[in-house]
Order: sequence, then structure tokens, then C-alpha cells
Amino acid sequence: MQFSEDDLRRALRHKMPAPGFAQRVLARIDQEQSKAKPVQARRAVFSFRFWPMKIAALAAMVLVAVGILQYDRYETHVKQENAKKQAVLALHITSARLSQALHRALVKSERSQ
Amino acid sequence: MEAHQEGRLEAALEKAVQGDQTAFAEIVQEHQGMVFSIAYHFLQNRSLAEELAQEVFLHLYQNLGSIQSPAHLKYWLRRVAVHRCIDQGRRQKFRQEVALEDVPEPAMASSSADPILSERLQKTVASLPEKQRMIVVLRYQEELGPGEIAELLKMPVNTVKSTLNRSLAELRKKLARSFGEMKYAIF
Repeated sequence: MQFSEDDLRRALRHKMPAPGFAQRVLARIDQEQSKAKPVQARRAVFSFRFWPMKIAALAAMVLVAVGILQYDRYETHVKQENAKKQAVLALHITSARLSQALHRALVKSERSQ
Repeated sequence: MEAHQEGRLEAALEKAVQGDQTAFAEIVQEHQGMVFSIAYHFLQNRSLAEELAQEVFLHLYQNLGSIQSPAHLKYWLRRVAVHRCIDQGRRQKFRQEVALEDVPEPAMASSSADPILSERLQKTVASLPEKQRMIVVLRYQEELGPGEIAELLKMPVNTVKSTLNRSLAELRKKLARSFGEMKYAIF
């Protein structure tokens, strides 16, 4: 008895997997994809695809912050100006009243002499 | 006929790249025998071979964009299957050592298409060391030449040739011993 290379070829001939192999592969692909989706979504947020949106959002936030800061400064300035005006007005009124009092005092002293 | 099949596979490949799962299933059906057989003849375990073959096609699905042609697809699948088998063997120290005592009892002299001889040859091939086993599988299952095997396994052609000769001698020796004093010759 002899065995030839053809015997070896026959022994190692193609064998098929159990029926439905392709369906099982597709099912496994679906399974892997559904497993990978949350990770992909998380990755997507950090992916380059969203860079323009992220930059725009950041720019908008910076603009809003600068706006708030400027408005706050403006408001403080207006309050300071109003306070200054009121102080000046108060000084004017005080000065006028003092002048009137001084004038009355002088008139009285002249009459008494 | 072959050109027609090539064209059909090329169309299936194009569709599969665009996400057509039916086309991908067609590709799987076309190559499942090759991938499964490499794994089965190397691992000698149907469920491990099925698992490994599924992984190879899963990996293909994830890398469809890099496949350039049906010929490249076949080469790619064969290469991935071979390397996964070798990795599997290393990882799990999976090597089905078939001691001579485990080889089935010799039958009467049989014809070249003897299923018992085929079974015994399979088991004896499975008893070879990893590299030798893979070279024999690629040579006689896939009908690859020493040059193609060398490219696939990244080893010199002369090493492939000498390993193949050594493997055949070892197969002959093991079979001869398992069959008693009967002489076997590979020609």
C-alpha cells in the first residue's frame, strides 16, 4: 500500500462549515456593531468631524462672557457717573444754602450795628 | 466561466464595500470553504475552526475598504486565516499531539481514495509541529507553490522546500510505524 500526494490532497480537501455560516457571520457583525455603537458615539464627540461645531460653540461662549463683562463695566461706569453727578449737585446745594445762611447772618449783624 | 465568476465577485466586493450585506454574504459563501478548511486542518477542531473563520470574516468586514480586487481578497483571507491559526496555536498551546498509539488501528491495504487512509493522514498531519503543519496544509489543501507559501509565512523559499520535505518524511515515517512494518512511499 502506498499513499501519494493526491491522497494527501484528498485528506486535506476543502471542508465546509455547518450550514448557515454566512448568516452566523452577519449576525456576529451586527452583534459587534451594536456593542461598538456607544463607544463610537463617545468617540465621535471627540473626533475631528465635530471640531468646527466645537470651535463655534467655544467662540460663542467667549463672546457671551466678554459681552457680560463689558456690560458689567458699563453699568458700573454709569453708576459711578450718576453718583459723581449727585455728589456735585449735593455740594452745589450745600454751597448755596451756606451762602444764603452767611448772607442772612451778615444782614442781621449789619442791622444790629 | 472563471472570468464570469471573477466579475461577479468584483461586483459583490464593490457592493459590500458600500455596505451591502447580501453582497458580503456572497463573499463569505465563496470563501468560507477555504478559510474554514485552513483552520480545521490546522486546529483539528470544528468549533474552534468555525470560531476562527468567523473572526477572519469579521476582520474582513472591518477592512473591506483596503481590498483592491477578488485576487487580493483571496490572498488577504488566506494570509489572515494562516496567521490567526498560528497565533491561536501559540496562545492556547493548542497542538493536537497524536501519539502513534492514538492513531487508529491499521486497516487492510486500501485504494488511494480510502477514507481510513484520509482520516489517518489528517491525524498525522495534525501531529506535525505548527510551521510544518501549516506548510503541508497550504501545499496540499490550497495547492500553493513553495514561493507563495514562503511569501505568506515570511520565510525563505528554501526553508519552505526543506520543511516540506522533512514534513513528508515525518508523515511517511509515522504512517509506516502506525501501519506496522508496511512501507509507504510518497511519490
